[in-house]
Amino acid sequence: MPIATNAVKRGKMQFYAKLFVYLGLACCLIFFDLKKQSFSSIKQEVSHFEYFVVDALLPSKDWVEQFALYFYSKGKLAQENETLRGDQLLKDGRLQTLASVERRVEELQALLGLYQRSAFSMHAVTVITASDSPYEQTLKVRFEDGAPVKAGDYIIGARGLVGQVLHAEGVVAAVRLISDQRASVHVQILRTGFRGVVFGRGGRGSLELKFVPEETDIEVGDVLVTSGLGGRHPYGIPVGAVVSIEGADASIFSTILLKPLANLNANEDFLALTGALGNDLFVPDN
Amino acid sequence: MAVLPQKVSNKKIAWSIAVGLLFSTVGLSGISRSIAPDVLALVIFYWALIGGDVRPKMSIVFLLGLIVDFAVGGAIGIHSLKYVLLLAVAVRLGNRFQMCIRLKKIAFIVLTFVVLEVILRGVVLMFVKTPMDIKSVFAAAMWGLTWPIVEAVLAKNYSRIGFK
Repeated sequence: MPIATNAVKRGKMQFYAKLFVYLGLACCLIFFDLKKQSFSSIKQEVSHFEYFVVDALLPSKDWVEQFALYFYSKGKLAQENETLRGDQLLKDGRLQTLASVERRVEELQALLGLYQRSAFSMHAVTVITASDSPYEQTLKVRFEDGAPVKAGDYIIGARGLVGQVLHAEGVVAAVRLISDQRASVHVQILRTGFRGVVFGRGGRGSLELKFVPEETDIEVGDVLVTSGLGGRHPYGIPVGAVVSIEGADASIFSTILLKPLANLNANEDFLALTGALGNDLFVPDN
Repeated sequence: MAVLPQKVSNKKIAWSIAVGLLFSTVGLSGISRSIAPDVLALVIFYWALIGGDVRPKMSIVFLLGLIVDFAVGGAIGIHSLKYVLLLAVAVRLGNRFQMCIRLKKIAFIVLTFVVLEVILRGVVLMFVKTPMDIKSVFAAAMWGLTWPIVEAVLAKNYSRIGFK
């Protein structure tokens, strides 16, 4: 018989012998423990030792628990923080919506006040689109079906003049803003009564009072209103306030820049003046 | 294919056994002891199946069983018996086990644990009249389902070609 086979057989025999020894030992231990209770005292000692170890480790256990609690709280806080941040973002969005609604309500209230204290015919118009080109400052507005909005009518906001209707078709009208380069309004300085013409400069926040001699009494902050000359448009609609006056070297005229009083950018609702004219539409501030 | 047992260091086996011993003696928080896994049994069995020459020795396994018995406070020798039997099964059937497909491996492990649990309950019943706890037998079988996880870990770390 080959030597290798003998070795394998011997190995197997050894394995089984060991196995039976250990199994026998284990069974004996079980028997002595369960039947004879031989290990009760050792078990008791072990349990005492366990209590001792637990007692000894109690402070460190507390420390570990606190450590774990720290990390748990930290994680929880981070999670709460994340949730709160999300809520905050949501609420910020809602607040912004609320603020814009509030602003719109204010505008509408102002327009309503204007409408109520005026004896003139005017109709509400709502902005549909706005051109953002610097060369063409126009709006498209929609008005109530049947409203007599026509070319040439003034469009006013709660604070002043916005523009003039270029043409109307159906329930939509094109409005040229006073800031358009081709727009011009005949105005009067409220403080002195000096008359002139305001031109748009292309940007929505800027107008220019042209052809004003240098010696004219005009100051920064002066309010300019529509002059009402010609009888077509009412007197006294605020147009803008003077923001800068510069004397030109080679000209006898000053360069006077104005800021429109009406908010040309943000408002969504305006009034179209369509009826008889008068001068009690706007009550100027002191 | 088989694992490459040469790549598994004794240190790693020792560490895994130490962790298994800790879990088996202290228990897992939140899981009742009757259905908690005998982590050490799983560790010993898995290493015995795939460990090749570096599988745990019978004497060590026997001693570990005694430690668990004293720590847990059950019948002395029962865990020793369990671990020795597991080792014996693994040694005798380890080679065949490695040739099996995954499903057969899982079935083999689950079956081994169930049969072993029943045998151990039977041994205890021979000396003390206690009702058979079906829940613990079922739990032992369930914990045998952890094999695919172990296999995936081993395949990632110790196998050149991967498992069958």
